[in-house]
Amino acid sequence: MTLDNNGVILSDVWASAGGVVRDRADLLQGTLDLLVLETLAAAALHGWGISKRIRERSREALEVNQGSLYPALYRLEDRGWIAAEWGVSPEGRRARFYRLTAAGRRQLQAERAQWRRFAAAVELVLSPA
Amino acid sequence: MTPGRLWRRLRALGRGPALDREMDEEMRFHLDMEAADLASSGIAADEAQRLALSRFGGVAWHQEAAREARGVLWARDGVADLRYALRTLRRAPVFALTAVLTLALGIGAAATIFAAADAYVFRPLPFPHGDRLVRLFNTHGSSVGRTVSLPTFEAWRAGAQAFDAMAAAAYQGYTYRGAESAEHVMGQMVSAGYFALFGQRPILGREFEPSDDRRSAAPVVIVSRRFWKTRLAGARGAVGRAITLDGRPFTVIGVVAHGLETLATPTEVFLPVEAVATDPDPGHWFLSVYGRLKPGTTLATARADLAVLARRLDERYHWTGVGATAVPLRGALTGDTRGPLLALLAAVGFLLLIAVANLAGLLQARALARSREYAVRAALGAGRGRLFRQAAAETGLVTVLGAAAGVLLAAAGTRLVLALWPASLPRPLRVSLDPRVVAFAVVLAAAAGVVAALAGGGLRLRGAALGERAGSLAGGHVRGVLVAAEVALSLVLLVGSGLMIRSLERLLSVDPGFRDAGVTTFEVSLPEGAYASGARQAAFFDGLLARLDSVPGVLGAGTALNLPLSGTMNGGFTIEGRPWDPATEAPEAVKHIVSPGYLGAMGIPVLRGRGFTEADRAGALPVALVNQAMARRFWPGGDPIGQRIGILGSGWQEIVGVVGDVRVDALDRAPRLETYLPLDQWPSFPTMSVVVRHEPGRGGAVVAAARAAVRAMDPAVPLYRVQPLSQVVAGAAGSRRLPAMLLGAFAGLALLLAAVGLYGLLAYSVSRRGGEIAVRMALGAGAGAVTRRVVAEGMRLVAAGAAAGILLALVLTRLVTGLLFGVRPLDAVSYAVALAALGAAALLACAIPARRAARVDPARALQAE
Repeated sequence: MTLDNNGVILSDVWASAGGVVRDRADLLQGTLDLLVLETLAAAALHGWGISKRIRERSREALEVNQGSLYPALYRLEDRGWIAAEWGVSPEGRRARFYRLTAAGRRQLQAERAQWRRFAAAVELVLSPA
Repeated sequence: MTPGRLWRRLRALGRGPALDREMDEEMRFHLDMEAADLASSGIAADEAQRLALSRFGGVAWHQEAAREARGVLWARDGVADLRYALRTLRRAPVFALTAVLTLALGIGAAATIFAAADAYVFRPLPFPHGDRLVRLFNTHGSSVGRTVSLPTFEAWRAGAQAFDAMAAAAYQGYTYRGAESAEHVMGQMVSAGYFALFGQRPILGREFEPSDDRRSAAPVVIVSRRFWKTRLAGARGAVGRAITLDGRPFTVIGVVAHGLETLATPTEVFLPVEAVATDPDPGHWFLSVYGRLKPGTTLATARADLAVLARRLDERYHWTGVGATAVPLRGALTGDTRGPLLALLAAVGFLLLIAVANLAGLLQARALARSREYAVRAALGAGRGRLFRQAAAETGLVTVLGAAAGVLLAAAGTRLVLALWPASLPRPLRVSLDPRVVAFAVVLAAAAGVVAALAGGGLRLRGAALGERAGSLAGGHVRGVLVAAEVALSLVLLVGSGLMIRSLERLLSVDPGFRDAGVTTFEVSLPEGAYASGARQAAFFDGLLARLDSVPGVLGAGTALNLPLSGTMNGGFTIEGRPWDPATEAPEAVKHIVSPGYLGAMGIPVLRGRGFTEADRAGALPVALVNQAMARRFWPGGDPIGQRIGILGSGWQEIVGVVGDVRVDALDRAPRLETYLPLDQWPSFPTMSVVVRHEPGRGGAVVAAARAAVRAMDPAVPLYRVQPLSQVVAGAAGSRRLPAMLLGAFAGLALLLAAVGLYGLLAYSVSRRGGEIAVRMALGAGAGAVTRRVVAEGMRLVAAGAAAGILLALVLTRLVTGLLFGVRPLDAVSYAVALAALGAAALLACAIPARRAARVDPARALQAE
């Protein structure tokens, strides 16, 4: 398994280099894709709902950079993994809801497996021999 | 990119503004929700909004990223890139024009020749089941391509199992009596089913049926569309009307769109062969026979089938060794054109390679010149992908423009080739710029663009290091190799075209055995009805010749059944006292049936004995002349005069003279055995060729006088096919002239492109090394030394390229030996002329940049440093 950008969490060191030390990890693209797909696997959601759900499910550990959520959503849509349509939110406002497509479901499985292999590999490195 | 993805992107592109509005709304919703969420945790409303916005980040920035993610930018940038490319090209017009023209020449030449080769060599014949069509021939000993007699055709058609259709055709001129005058029209006698065999349906009326194609059938005719339009006013009621041909009425039963020009010269009228052929003699071989193999039948099966039938006929008619064979129709039609076309195709391939090499050099120079610009733009934040796309857009634009110009050139080129197409070759039905040829050109152009871009490194973005000086020396080496390759390829083309042109020259300098200058020829055809008897035919021609002899300026006139280089009549013969076994030795001789004045008018020398005189008439001693080849073969060292030969089907003729050999078949065929027989001692023929030798420049007056004479004798007799004898000779060289001309043109273009490539390289090198040259000059190098240095730099490349070119030419010209005549592939003159032309062009290409180098002002150039 190769280590590439896909799925790597930026370290706090990187974040602190910018002068702001945060206790939440920022996400790189690939990971964000996985999280969005995972979130949508349960139910169709609008953009804000997705960011909120990720925050909640990670118990506030993961913060989705809210602005970059949308380019990610459009990219996933462009790839054909999610589809969007306009609906009405529980608050009664017009909102764009995203749902997983069949191709997206397959992609989610692939990314999950890859993430697990990656996490396991990192764990192997970290744990004493 | 998957279709679905492309579709989504195109849709996104089409809905651009609407999608932007939706994106605004979606993000506003997000911000409102976030603010509301924050507010619910106790933060003041305006503070919540501010916080939401800051958490979201730069809205505009995210929107741009979102657009890119959606693929909108992908296309929008593409348009911008193209526009940018157009602008930069307009700012470099010399580069743009040279690049586009280079590619256009390569593509145009390639597409033109491909169009011709496609019609002749690659594409199936334009007939239904064209791959199953064959031409059937009689064979006799080693002589293969023989026409067929009517009884033989009937026997084949009835007996051959391998064919599901068979048809025959033979040319026959007819005299059409129109409203005002009589004229000669080209006709063919065809068997029933001829048009169906080639998938031709009459546009009006019907085709011949077996009931028309019978000796006692009512006389019927099918006319061509052209005849119908011009002579029958294109009237629908023309079918059913009668027209007069050779003084006999024929009922028009149909009109056909064209006369199968691929097979034959244009034909105006078609008559059923069985009904009108005057000669059902099994010894009269005059029909061209075509057949369609049954599906799944091989050529070998068909040949075996025919061989059985031929053996039966051979026995029945007491022939000896007459067989039959079938060859694919394509080969029969295009046999002689295949070699030259493939050679030309190779030549345009080379030309295209040269064009691509040139383009690669140009693109590389362009990339090097722009490397500083790329560096600046990369430093300012342009992504590598974007820079690559822009460079690609420029190359792509050049390629597209070059391809478009090339297709236009090919359109003109195919028309030119058709106009120059020699009459002696079968006319191509569809040498045209059809979609197939255009697709070929487009694919070729795309490949050329990609190869040139890769070879020239035009897409390599050397912008990364801003500190690097524009252009590295490594690039110069690649261009040098490209230029040397261009030189090598153009030398091959020059040598090839030199060989072809020398062959043509040799061919034209062949002594045809007659003197063609100052001779005019025409044909006269007597309508059979009024001139049924041989005596009347002979009387007409005697009278005409007497009148011609009295025309001022006429030096001599004669008639013959066939002129040299325009078809022959052949026949077997015997020599008295020298019986031969016809199974093993059955020589044939050309039969020239001529009037007494013919030899003089043609300038054919009588070498021994005498020519024919008025005394050689019917009832007098039957006489004959033989040519030198015949005298040498049968009476080597002896004297044929006084000996007797027997032309098959007649008694003995006494040889009274020996005449010079004439090239009867083609200029490049060795002389054959020939006999001459006096017209008055042989059955007369209604159609004769007339030759008139006259004082120089009087051809027009002589033809006018001849027309007046014919009209005075009988206005119903047409005089046609007027041409100088020199034109007959030129026509015989026609099939070599077009390839030689085209190859010469391609070699010239190749030389031009190579010279442009060399010039471009040197000019670039001089401009880039201005500083170095200035230093040299400041250190005391004179203008002469600088000039020499630059010229030497260029000529080193030329020498390397020429050496490679000679080696390549030595190998490749061996493949075209079959296309040469009288010249060996190693012809020193061709090589010398090619090298001289190359050297001259190369020196010129070097001289201009060299002069510029010599004019560098050291002080200025060094200041600029």
